[in-house]
Amino acid sequence: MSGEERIKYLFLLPSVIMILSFIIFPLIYSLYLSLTNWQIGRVPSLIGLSNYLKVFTDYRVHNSLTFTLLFTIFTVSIETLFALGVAILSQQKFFGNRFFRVLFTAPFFTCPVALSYLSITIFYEEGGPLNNLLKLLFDIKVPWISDPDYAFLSLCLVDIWQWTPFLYIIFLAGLESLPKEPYEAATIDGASSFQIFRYVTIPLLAPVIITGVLLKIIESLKVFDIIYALTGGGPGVSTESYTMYIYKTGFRFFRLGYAAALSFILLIILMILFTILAFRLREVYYE
Amino acid sequence: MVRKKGRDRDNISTILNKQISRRTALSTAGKIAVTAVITGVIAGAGGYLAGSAAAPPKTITKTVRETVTETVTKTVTTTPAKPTIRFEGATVNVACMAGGPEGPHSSVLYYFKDEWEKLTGAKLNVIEIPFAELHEKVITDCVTGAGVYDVAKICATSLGDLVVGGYVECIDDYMKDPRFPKWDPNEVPEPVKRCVTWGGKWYGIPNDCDGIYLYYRRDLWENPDYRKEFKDKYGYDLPDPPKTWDEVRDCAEFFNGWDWNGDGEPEYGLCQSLKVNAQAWFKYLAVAACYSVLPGPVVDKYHNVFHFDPETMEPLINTPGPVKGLEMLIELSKYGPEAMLGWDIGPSWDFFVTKGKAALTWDWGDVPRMAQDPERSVIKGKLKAAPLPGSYEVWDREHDEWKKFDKPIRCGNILGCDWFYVILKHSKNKEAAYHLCAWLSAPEQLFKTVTVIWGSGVDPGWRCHFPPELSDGWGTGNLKEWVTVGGYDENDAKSFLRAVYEQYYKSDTFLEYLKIPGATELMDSLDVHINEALTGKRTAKEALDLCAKDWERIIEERGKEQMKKWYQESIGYGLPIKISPE
Amino acid sequence: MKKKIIKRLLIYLFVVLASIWAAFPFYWALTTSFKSKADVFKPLFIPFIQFQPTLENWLSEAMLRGEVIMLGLRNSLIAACTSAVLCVILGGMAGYALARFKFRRWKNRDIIIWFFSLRFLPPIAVAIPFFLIFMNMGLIDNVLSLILSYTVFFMPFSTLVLRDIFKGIPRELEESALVDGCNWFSAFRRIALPLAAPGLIAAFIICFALAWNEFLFALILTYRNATTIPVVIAGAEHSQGVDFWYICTRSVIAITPPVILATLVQKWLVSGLTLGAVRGAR
Repeated sequence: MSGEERIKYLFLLPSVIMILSFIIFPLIYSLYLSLTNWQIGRVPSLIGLSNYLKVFTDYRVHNSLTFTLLFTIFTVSIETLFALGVAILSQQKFFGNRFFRVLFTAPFFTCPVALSYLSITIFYEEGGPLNNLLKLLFDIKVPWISDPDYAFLSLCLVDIWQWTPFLYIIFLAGLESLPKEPYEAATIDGASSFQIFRYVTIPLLAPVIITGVLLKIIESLKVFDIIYALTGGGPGVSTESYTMYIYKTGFRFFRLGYAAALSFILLIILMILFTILAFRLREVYYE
Repeated sequence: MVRKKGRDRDNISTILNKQISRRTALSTAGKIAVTAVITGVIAGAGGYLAGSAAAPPKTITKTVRETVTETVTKTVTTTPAKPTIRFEGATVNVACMAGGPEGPHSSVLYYFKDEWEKLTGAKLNVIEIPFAELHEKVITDCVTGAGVYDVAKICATSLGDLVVGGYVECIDDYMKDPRFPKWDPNEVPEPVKRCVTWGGKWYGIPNDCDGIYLYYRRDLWENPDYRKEFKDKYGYDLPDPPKTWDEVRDCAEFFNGWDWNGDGEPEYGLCQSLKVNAQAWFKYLAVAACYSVLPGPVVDKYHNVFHFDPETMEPLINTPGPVKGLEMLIELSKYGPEAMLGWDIGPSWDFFVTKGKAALTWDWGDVPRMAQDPERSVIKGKLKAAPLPGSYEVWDREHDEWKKFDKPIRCGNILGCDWFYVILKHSKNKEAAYHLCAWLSAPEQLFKTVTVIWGSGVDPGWRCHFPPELSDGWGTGNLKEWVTVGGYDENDAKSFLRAVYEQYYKSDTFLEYLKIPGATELMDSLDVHINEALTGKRTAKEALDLCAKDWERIIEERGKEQMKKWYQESIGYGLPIKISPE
Repeated sequence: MKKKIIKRLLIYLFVVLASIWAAFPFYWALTTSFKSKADVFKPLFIPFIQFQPTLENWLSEAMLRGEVIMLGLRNSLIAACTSAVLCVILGGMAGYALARFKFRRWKNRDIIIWFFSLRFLPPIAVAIPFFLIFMNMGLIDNVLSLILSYTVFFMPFSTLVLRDIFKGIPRELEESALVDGCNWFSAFRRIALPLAAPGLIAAFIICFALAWNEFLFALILTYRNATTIPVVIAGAEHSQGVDFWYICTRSVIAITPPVILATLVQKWLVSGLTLGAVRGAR
């Protein structure tokens, strides 16, 4: 089996080497920066872990983390259900099925920057399309951007619109790749549609769902582009996400050390989370 | 066992039979590749054209303006012709905000590109950067040593970072050099001068003078019925123009909530752009400055300062002056649409100019320009402008009391970014770069910039912009050209130019522009807390106390003594101020 | 029979609702690009009935910014296509290795977590170091720097998704081929890949879309020649506000190549063999 020994590295190593060669330097450099008090026009000096300790007293970090967590939970749960539903729907036979698949994938191709600006016109409170419809139907004016709670809702709507296709594509590919035999067996045994779904599809699709959801959680925790133009983090800082605060700290204020430290804190949190999850997901990922 | 093997075999044979469909797979892949190649070729041809474009892109409106310019006799004084210095073969890369050939600031460069290239033999490359990332890209370019940009048209907030980093060239010597086009530093408003200098030395070539002015509707103010109603309700004549923010408040309240333009829907007293992470803090400073900046002959500890105490570096943002300003802003925000808490300038201007549903606002000098565009304005000819209102009392920190005056004290300017050119030290063509900037700021080009180039985004403020009759005889501009070439309604132009002149040259003091390193961080904190107060999450005093705490922390982190030194240099501490022209 | 009709109706109802949900912003962008500037903030839905459409925004874009937009499209296409293909090839191989083989030095689970962890760090943290790397390679303002960056960033997506897809394909099929004398490469190429076609297409689409829309690195690593579509779109904001009409025109332009691509490849999102998993019992 020495052939297999060599083969497996041949398959795995190209991607790993390519990734490592590009990210080793940035990682080390970023780590170094996080331990300094880098400022323009000054030689940076090492200040140890004080950037990391500062996090405990920075109310904007607490605020943005809270928002980001709530946002992630809300959007990922809705998107998973929505994407799963539409993926199953796409497998039925109906007229325009292929067109529908492309249409439902299309939101994922919109540039988040453009989407953010476009949403300003859609959520425009004094007479944009949404409020116009709502006024006609229910005679209400929703403060989509000027109220903290509705601003949260409008951001969630935008994210759901854009990222459901991401999960949809993954789930659809997974569904299409499922083997036929279990379904034949289940049909022979007389199972109903729902039972097939619950006891055959879901368990078989579980790895794909979990991978998709994990990837989306990571992306949600880093949400930035759609918030920047639509609400700017407002009202106040109620919709400022963690990555937006890092962006401002690093690129607006050019406090590269603190920004690097904040980034690594996110890395550490997620590492801990995933290591915990890994034990739980042993059945799924263990070879 | 046998059954399973048979099934596997079936599967394998079906798989191998799919070899035929693999051909179709290849053909589809081929189709994709061909489409991609064709698209690539088309896009590539476009890219090639972009790369080899020697002629500037044609503008739709440019030809009309040019024809109009040619038929009007020029009365602008031109600098006497002298042999121009040549820079054959040099390339000057200018970083400016992305706006294209007709957008703000970049249009100026595109408009004058051919002329300057012919004049000097050098090549001008306009490198556009998205507006929100201009600061980041310029500093990254300097800090990493990439050194692509020679000139950058920057916002004044960035100047501190660039100066202390040693990335900009001091231009004192260039200004004295007779080989370069002359622009007179005395023809620039004092606040603008303060923006481009640091510690008495010049680092930037001024260009734009973007101040905030009060705008209100001529048709409403001159309506005799409304005037009578106002007088009945408030006991004094409808102020034209409002001289204090209390008067503005009364006017806004009066015009709020009823249909004064006959379209069947209620209108609002005012509108404003109060969105966070946008421009709300400028609009706040416009209100707060007159309560906070005590006039005096010199910039010292108690006079002519706003942000910090120059001797102790204590934040002044939560002293009674700024707090009163924020309370006034909160009060004013009641008389406009609720949605404006989420508005950037786009929707706000749309509301005031395009829909005409607000009676007054205070905003940049771009608003009158937009009001003249028949496609986007319903208020052409109905616009009145005034310098920002003042206050009868200013907080005196020395005596810890409100100092009362007989007439409203006006704090002039409130500059936006005051977009100006800086020459980056890593440039290899500094002389050509300076020539370009100086030439662009010479009177002839400057006048064209504000009149001919509709989308220039540059606001007037230089001597050459003002007609003498509106500037007490000092200006060298021409009102007729503002109307014929600039396309302004005559009354609008008169009102606007007079307002600009009074604001810059006849105010009692001015608001210093915060440009020390870390200014972006300080202003971000202010912006966020103002918004919290406006949205009702905190009171004005609470919000500004938090802001002051943030500012203290930021100053400490960056080194208090160093920041104090920089702050004193940036505001010209100890230097006398001179507002009115000679 | 009745149950079948109700089921049909429900299916069509949900399809219509989902289509409206997905299509509305596109419809809005398209119609707004044909509105005059004064109409942008008005609730006008139907052209010709509620507002008079005008070509002025499109003409203005074509005449003034046509070259920049074409350049952006070209660079975006090159960067996104190339990096997506690289992602699928390299990531596919890595995913296959993780699905089929057992690694002993570092366990499979740990390698998988490592791939996930590549996505943990916000891109901001590494923007300046990446700039320094490419500056030293002389690749600033060059599409190649974008291709390399995007491949590195989006490889985890293709690896992880394809790993799951490959895991779902019964191992026996390749083992039968091995017994028949193929080596692992052949088995991979002739058996696993075709069966994984939906997964490959999905990974390609995801990596392509992510690269197409990537903004931060396109901004940092390019100046003029390698500018991509998201940067061109962001250029519609300036000191006088946002030109929403140009945002709309550029969005419509920017969405067209990916949608064409998706239309061409979506045929392969359906596996020939399995013919849909839930048809099952009616």
